[in-house]
Amino acid sequence: MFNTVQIICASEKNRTILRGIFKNLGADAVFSNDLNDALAVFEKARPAAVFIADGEEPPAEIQLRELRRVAPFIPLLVLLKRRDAARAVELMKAGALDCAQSPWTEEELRPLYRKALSLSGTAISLDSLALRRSRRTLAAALALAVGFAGFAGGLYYGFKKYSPRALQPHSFYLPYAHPTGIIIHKDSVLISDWFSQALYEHNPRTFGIKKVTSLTETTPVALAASQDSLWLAGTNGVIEKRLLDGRYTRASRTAAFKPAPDSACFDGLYFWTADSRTGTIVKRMPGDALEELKRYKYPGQKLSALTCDTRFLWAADPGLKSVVKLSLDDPERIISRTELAQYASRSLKVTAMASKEGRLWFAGEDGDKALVFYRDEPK
Amino acid sequence: MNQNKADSCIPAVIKTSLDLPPLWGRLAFLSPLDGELVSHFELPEGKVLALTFELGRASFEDIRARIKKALRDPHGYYNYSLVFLDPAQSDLLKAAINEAAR
Repeated sequence: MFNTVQIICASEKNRTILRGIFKNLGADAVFSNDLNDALAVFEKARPAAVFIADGEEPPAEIQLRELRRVAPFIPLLVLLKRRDAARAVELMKAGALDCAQSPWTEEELRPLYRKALSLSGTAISLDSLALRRSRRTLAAALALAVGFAGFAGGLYYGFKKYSPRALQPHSFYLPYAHPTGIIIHKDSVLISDWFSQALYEHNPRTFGIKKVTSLTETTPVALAASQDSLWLAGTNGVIEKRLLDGRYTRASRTAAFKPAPDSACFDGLYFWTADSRTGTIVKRMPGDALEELKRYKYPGQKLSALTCDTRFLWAADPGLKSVVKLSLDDPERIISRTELAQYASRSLKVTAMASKEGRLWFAGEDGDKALVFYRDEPK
Repeated sequence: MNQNKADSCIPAVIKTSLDLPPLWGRLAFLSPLDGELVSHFELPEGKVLALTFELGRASFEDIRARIKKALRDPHGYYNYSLVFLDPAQSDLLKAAINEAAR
C-alpha cells in the first residue's frame, strides 16, 4: 500500500509524538514545519494523505484551502489540540476529511489514517422507505416468479411422468366404404375399393389420402404385392400384374380363375389365392399365368381374408373371431389362433389382410363404414 | 439505483448527552426517515443522538435520531444506521431534500 503521509507540524514535541505513532501505524511520515515547507516538498513526497496540526500558523483553514488548491482530491486531516466538534465540522466543511481529537494516540489516529485512503460522498434519497418497499416488491415478485416457474416445471414434469401416454391410433376409418385389398409399402398403404373402382394411396401414419388411381376397367377384389409389382384380382377372376410406377402400368394378366379369388398374396416364392365363399386356398406359381400348384381346404371355420409373409399364411376367421396362423407347407394345419378384439363388433367384416414387418393389417367393413386396423403379429 | 449525492459527505455535530462534549462525523446517507452516519467515535446501538448539520441552504439543529445498528468497517470507522424520531423534523428534512434536489 502507498503509505507516505505528510505531516505539517511546527512543534518538535508534537513531531516526536507523531513520528512514533505513524511509525507504529506503518506509515512513512514526511514532516514539514509549515505550509510553505509542505508545498515545497509536496510534489516530491507525493503523499497519500496530509495531516495538519491545528493551532499553528497559518490557521488550518488556510492550509486546507491552499493544499486543496494544489491537490484537490488528496485526503486532508486535521489534528485538533482539543475536542471541539463545532470546529471539527467547520474544518470538514473547509475540506478536511476528518479531525482527530487530542490527545493524539495511535488508537485515535489509526482509523483516520486508514480511512484517508478512501473517499466517497453522501448518498441522498427522498424516500428510502419507498425504495425499500419497491425493492421488497421486486424481491417478492422475483420469488413469486421463481416459485411459479418451479411449480409449473414440477407440474409439467409430473404431468409428463404420471399422465397416461396418448395411444397411437391403431385403427382408422376410411373415406370410402368397400375396401377389398391392402398392401403395405415403406411410406404408403395401398387399398383397393371395389365400389369406387379405385386404388387409394394413404399416408401410413395419418391415413390421409396421398393419391387416388382410378381403375376404369377393373373392379378390384384383392391385392397382393412383391418388391417391384402388384397383383390386382378382379371380380371376373382375372389377376393383373401391374408395375409399381406412378400409373400402375399393366404388365400381364391371367386367364379368369374360377371361382374368382377374393384374397391374394405372395410369400416371396409362391403366389397364393383364396376364395372366401368356398374356403379354398390355392398355391400358384408366381409367373404371368399364375399356374395352380395345389388346392387346400381352409381348416378353420370361415375364411374371410388371407395374406402371407415369408413364414406363414394368416387368415381372418369371423367364425373363430380370430386371426389364424397357417403353415406355408401345409395350409390345412392351424399353427395357432388368436382372438381378434375387433370382432367384438358383430358387424365387422374383414375383407383384406396384409402382413409386413411383424405387423398384421386388416381392412374391412363395419356397418356402413370402412376401416383399417393393425396389430402385432401373434406369437 | 442512481442516488443523488452531496459534493462530499455532510459533516455533522453529534450530541450524545448534555454533559459530554459533542462528537463529529459525516452523514453517508440521508432520507427523511433514516440516515447513515460515519464516525470514528464509538457509540452504542439504541443510543439517541442529536445531529446538527447543513443541507444545501437549510441548517438543521438537534435532529433526534436513534442508532438502530452499528457496524465497524475495516478501517476502524463506525457506520451507524439511524432512524429519525421526530416526524416534524422528518418533514423538514424532506422539504430540504426536495429543495436540494431541484
